[in-house]
Amino acid sequence: MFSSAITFVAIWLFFKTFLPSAGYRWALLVAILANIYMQFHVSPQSVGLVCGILTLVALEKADSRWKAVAVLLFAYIIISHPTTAFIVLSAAGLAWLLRMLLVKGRKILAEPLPLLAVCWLAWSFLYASPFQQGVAGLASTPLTTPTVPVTGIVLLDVWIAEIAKRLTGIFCWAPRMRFIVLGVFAIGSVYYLVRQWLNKANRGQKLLITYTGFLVAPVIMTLMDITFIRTGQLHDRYFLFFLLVASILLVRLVQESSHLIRKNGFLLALVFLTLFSFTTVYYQSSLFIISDETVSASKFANSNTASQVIGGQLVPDLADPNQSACLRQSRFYHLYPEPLASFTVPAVIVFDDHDRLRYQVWYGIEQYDFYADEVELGADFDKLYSNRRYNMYWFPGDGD
Amino acid sequence: MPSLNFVKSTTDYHQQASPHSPARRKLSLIFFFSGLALAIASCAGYSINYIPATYQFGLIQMLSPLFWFGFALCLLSLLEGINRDKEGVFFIKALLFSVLLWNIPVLLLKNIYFWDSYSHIFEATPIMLSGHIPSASETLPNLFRYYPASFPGYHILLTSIFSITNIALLGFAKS
Repeated sequence: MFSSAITFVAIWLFFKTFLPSAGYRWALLVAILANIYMQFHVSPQSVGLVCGILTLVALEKADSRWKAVAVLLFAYIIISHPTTAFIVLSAAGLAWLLRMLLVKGRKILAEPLPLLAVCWLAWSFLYASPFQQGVAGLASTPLTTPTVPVTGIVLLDVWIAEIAKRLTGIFCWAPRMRFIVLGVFAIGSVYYLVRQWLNKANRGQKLLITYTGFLVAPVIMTLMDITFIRTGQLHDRYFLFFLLVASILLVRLVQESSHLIRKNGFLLALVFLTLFSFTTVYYQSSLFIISDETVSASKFANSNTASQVIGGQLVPDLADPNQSACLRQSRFYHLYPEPLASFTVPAVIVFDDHDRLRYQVWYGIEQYDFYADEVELGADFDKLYSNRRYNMYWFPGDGD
Repeated sequence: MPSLNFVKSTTDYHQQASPHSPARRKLSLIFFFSGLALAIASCAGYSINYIPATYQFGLIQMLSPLFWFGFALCLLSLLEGINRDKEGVFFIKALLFSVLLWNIPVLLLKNIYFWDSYSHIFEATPIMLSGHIPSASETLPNLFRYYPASFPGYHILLTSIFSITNIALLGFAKS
């Protein structure tokens, strides 16, 4: 709750800074309803979101104290959430480069962007973990295991062919609705920017250059992530940031209309469109929810310390972390296509219906079914535990 | 083709906001806070433990009509005041509206919404126990080394909050 409140304050400052007119209120409302990619749970990305937005706000202010705040915030993001650092640096960096080329003022040279870039590069080269280096495109080895698709569920919102393949029979409407909303936002934003750039009088406008940097950099970075960096981690941040910026551009586009009734009609239509987007905000909740059955099954697996754990979505034991089954757990996608029968150590095999759904949507249902079939047909697997959603089987291993 | 006149826009910002009449402002606020109260009250009896995969819109599909009525009142009040409300009033309304929408899982669910929350707290526990970020040479399970090393700033912040406040970990993650 606290995280959502401070995120709102950060977004409010973002819109007040980058849309200095009464229209910021419309853009804020549109963004609140449209931006289904924001996350507020206890996680690095929720803190990264607040700090990332505030960094961009602070960089835009003329006061040198704000610039110092921007450097401190960015330093925190570098060591806290590299994905956010990457998008902030790419968006602000492109805007800064464009300003250098098009405006050519001395003040631009004095901005702290090069310092941010040096901090980021120094951390990425000298201290960063393999994950952070991967995000920076510096990892020497691939980040994800080959069987895990680099296309996370967020990308399914725009990858229509994959929606049809993976989500048929599960989620039909929500990804398609998101696709339409994202499409309207993308077309509207690009149309607005092109119109403004075609007008020669606008080309030196600082805000137009900033909008362009903010809109173009995330698209380039998303494409780079999909094609070269292949972390599978980045695109949801880019979608999130894109929707923030696109909200501003769409409201600006609508406000260009001089006809008051038409303008208000379009703004209301935009809010109505984002309501559709909002209804999809928790559509994947059946994938992520923690049920009482999850907690009970996890307690059982945590207490069974003598074995490996294979499969299932379990929660750790926070009172005694070292007992947690997560520390001894392999997922099916780690093992596939190696059969369980080849295991030499005792193992608890976990199946749960939410996890099955995740494989169907995310990793590939054939992996889950491969192990479910092996356990069903094999003689070496004894049922150890069962509740309404979880089934656990004991496999003694070859040595037994 | 219109040009980007940001100076004019900034001026408009102060000129366009035509204030409410006191009666209208009061009515708008009554609408908003009634809607907010209705939406929150409509979630009071919920303690959802499971969301069927057949629910195309997940958690949103489990909200009662009363919630949507409250939601509509809040949204109408926001729209009605969007060009008229004073800055402070608009800020408070938009803040409360956002917090309502973004905390639907907190209002409805029995357990923590997202297993990711559990994981990130879990990954901070070795720092709480040892007082430092695990180094690569320490013989710890991968989960305890990989995540704190990948997001060190975040895990230090989390550990500091837990250590200073002594807050219950699960309660913190749920709220």
